[in-house]
Amino acid sequence: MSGVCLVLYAVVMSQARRIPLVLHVAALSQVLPVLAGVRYRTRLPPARIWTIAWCIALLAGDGIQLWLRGSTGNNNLWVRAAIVPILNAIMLWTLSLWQRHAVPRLAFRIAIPVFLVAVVALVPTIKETEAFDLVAGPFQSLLLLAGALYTLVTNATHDPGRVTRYDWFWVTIGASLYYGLRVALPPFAAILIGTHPELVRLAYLLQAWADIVVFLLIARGIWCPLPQAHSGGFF
Amino acid sequence: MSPSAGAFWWLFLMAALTLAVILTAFAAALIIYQRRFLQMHRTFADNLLAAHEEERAWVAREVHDDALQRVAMLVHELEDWSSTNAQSTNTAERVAALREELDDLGVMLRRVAHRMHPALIDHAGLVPALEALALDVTRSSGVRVEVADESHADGASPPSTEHALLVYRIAQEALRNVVKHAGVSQCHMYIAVCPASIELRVTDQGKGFVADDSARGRGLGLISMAERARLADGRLEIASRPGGGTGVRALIPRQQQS
Repeated sequence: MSGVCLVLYAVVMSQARRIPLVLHVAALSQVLPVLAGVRYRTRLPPARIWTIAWCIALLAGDGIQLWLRGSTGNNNLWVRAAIVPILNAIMLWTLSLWQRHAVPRLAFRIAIPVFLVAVVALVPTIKETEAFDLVAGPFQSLLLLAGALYTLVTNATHDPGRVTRYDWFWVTIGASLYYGLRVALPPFAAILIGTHPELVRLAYLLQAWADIVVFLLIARGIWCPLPQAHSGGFF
Repeated sequence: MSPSAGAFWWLFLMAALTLAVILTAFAAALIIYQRRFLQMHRTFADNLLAAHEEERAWVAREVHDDALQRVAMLVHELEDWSSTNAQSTNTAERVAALREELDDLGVMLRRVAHRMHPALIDHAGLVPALEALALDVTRSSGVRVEVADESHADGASPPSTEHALLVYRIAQEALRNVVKHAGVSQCHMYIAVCPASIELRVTDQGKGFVADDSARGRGLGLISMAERARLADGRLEIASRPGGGTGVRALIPRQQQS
């Protein structure tokens, strides 16, 4: 029911402001994992709770950006520069929860302050917000892409059975697609925007379609059956 | 900034930063994990040895307080019985033999109790306990153990029971190895209790063996000696060559001792 409302809202908004519908749907698709989480409510494992927290933070970040743009009309890219590291820290923490061994789990957690320090260190070296986004954004996306792919590959090789029943499988594929696009797109968009603006526009529309797929994949991961509780842990 | 001119440099910077973060995180994680693992291993070994010593002390107490008392009581009963009853020469001989047997049993039980837990460490200290151990080894194996006390404590407190027990166990194991493998009739034990450290050396001029750094092929005894020394932040050195005798040196620091 709520899904239908969201689509209707997207249609109305796109007609009102002449913005491609797919961008609205992509933005609203971030709600899908949250809705999927309603299935298990308080029984959700910590990794799924953090995944949902990531989606909510993403949604909130987009909301703040839109509100600032709408109310003040000022450049709102600094908001993204401030929110993206927080989002990525949440995703790194989530990925750490899916690590099967102590060393990578610890490495993912240590990576959070290290990459935050790296992002903060980049601020004085790059003056313009766009340039900051050009370097800091793809840098963080590349880091998260590596983390998501590492989690996917190590967990998939560890579990020889049907991997589609695990939440990490869907979420890491979704995260890989999400961050993969954000590694490649901003730098090339910056290069092509002067000469081929239509190509850049097309690329961002494709990214919006891909984002819908991403959040569908993540929602599928949240929807997975809950893992059986084990007696005792593993080292 | 001109994106077209600088974009590839930014890409390079981005990749380098990512790699740096990944490498830093993994290196830090490995170091932390290694430290935690070592600490865990150390605590486990420490607890295991403590439990082992506790168990040995319990057995020693039981042997000393129960079995030995019963033997003494039996000897006493036997004496009473032999003095109050009329006896033939045959009976007197049998009683004497029985008493001798019980005396032997008493000596054996006392030795077992002492080996299980050297109570002398608690009562007299490390050096007298090592001297008693040397005497015991000489008596039981025929290998004469010469003990030399090179201590210069200079008013320092005596070693703690834990350290003393640890050095005692290393000496016990080293002497056991001499008796078992060296093929000699004499060996030397040097003990030096100093304010900063405790040093123990056990040397012989026996068969020797190829001593190398690898743990592979080492007996459990050597490993347990090294492990005990390591638990006290000390070290164990073994110098040996075939036909050239063996020297075992344990150096235990005393800085951490309260």
